[in-house]
Amino acid sequence: MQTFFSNDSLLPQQLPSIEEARWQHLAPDYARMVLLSGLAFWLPAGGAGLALSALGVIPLNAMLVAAAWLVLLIPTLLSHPAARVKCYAIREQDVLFHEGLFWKSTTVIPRNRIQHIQTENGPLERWFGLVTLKCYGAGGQQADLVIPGLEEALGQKLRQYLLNQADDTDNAESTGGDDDVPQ
Amino acid sequence: MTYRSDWHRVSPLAIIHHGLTFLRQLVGSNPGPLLGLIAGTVAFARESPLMIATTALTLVLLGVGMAVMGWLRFLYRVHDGAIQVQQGVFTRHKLTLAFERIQNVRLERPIYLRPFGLARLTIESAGSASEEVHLPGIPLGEAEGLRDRALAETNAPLEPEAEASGAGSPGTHELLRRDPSDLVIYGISSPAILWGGAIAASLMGAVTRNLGDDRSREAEQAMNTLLETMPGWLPEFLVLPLAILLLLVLMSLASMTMALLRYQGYQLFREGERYRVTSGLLTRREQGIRHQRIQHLHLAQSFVARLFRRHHLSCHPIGPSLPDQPDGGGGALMAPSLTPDEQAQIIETLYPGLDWGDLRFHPVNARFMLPRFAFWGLLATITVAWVTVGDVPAWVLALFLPVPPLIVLNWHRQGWCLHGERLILRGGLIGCHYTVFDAYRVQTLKLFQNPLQRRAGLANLGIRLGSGGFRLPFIPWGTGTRLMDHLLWQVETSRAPWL
Repeated sequence: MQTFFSNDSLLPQQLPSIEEARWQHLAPDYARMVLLSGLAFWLPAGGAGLALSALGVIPLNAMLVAAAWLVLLIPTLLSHPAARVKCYAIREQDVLFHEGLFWKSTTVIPRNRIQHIQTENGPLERWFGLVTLKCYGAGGQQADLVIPGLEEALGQKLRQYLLNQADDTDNAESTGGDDDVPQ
Repeated sequence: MTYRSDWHRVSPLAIIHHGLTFLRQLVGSNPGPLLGLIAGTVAFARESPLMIATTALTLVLLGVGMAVMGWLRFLYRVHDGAIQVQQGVFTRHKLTLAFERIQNVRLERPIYLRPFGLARLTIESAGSASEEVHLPGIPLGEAEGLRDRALAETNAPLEPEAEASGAGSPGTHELLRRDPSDLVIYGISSPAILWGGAIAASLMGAVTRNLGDDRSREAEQAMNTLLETMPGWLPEFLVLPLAILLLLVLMSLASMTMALLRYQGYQLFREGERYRVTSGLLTRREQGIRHQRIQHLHLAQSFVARLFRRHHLSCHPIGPSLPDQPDGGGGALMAPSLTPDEQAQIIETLYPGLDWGDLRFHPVNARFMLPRFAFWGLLATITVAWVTVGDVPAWVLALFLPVPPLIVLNWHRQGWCLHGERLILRGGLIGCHYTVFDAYRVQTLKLFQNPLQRRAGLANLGIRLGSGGFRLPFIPWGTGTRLMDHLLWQVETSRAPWL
């Protein structure tokens, strides 16, 4: 008689490790979008600051304003490499997200703990054809895991997959962005 | 019990509840405009008492009107396996809460409802605070029926241990009872006392600092008046410490009174797979929670509680945890002032097989102290500079003396222990607190490190449960990843009901 039961011992070192996850980078446009949105604010802001300083409207030396502007511009300039470092991994049982240029972090949410999934895209994301995927657990007010910068089709595909409807590919066009996960 | 599927209105006495809620929201969310209104009213009162009377009457009528409208617009019904509520004076809100999603039920009998056989029922779901249902002023029998149904109904299979212990059976077993002496100890050892003392001390310090200032002659006069009322034999330098001591005694008395009011007649029962707590002097509260809904257990021992060898225990269901609140906030189920034996018994009931005495905690890395030393060192350096160039007295530097031993103590308190399928985290400063949870309750894990930690091969592990988030700081990177893998394995292979 054939038996469909196994109960092999599992040693700690045999557990699947997060360090062996197959990481996927975000869409290349995402880093450009982040940099563009930062510059779209700081370039006019710096120009306006310098102009107001030169006209004497604000009582600060133009050199001082330029120095402050350059300091404030650093995080914006760093946002490009920071966006390129971000990556995600989808495993059979969980979703992982890695980020951070200096302060690094890896977040994991098990699939059987996802209560709610949301996809959203703002005007700039729509311009670049990107989407942000948000996974919510129970009891929290904010999303537990956020994957930005996914190509729109891929984002919707991932949402469908995480909703446990991956086999239902015919419904892939039903791209409403907000769903509860059946438990 | 059968329920009619039509809309009900709660008792007119709920107007008191609506009025109190309206007042609380007015004071809580808009203190600025309210203070302005009061100040304006006082200014007008000098000119025209008639105007102030008219304004007061208008405000009272407005408040009563809002409360009556709130009552009229509040309707509820039990329909299709859910409680539905319609409410809102200007904006209509409709809320549907399915019985199977209910996490926590609280039945309260305030003093103004008790003579009429009415009760207030609060039902919480796994969602946000806006998904809470409050039914103020419904008949006690109906409230008990709804409570029983909410606690009995679930879409998940019962846990084997619950079945073994007779889940669903009518057998009631008393787990704990609190005498007034226990509650007095709870009142004294509440951490709120220490915070209150610190605030009082800083306020007194601010008053004495301002004494030499020309701008605060009034403060000096007040202090002089205070000193004149003191007995002649009392040295002046003792006045401030004695005043702080007196404040602490008064706050202790207030805290003890609050503990007695809140937990008088405390009894904790186990009924099959659910726990029920009854307590309260003026407002009788009855709180129920199913065993499977408890996400984590918090065991706290403040410095004062340590002197009495007591621990305060709280069980947290899904929802935001508010540790600053005396009862752990919202839906936490409290067991105050436990002796070591009682603590062992309750923990054995909640987490069978967890032998508290045998737990061996792993320490965190000593670099845990570095950021704290850096912060306090910077503060001390700034103070030294201030003392050198300013007119700050040198004795202020003595305030930094206890900081290094406290940082070392804080590091010693940190620890973690993986005991089978349970993780126990330890923390604290002068007191000590523990957090216990089943690994399969984990919702999200986050391993993070700053550049200095990366150089040292260290990381922090953030663990979020449905009932709150915790951090395991400064553990070796390898340990962090292995612990993360282990917890994920537990979560992903578990079929135990957790929500």
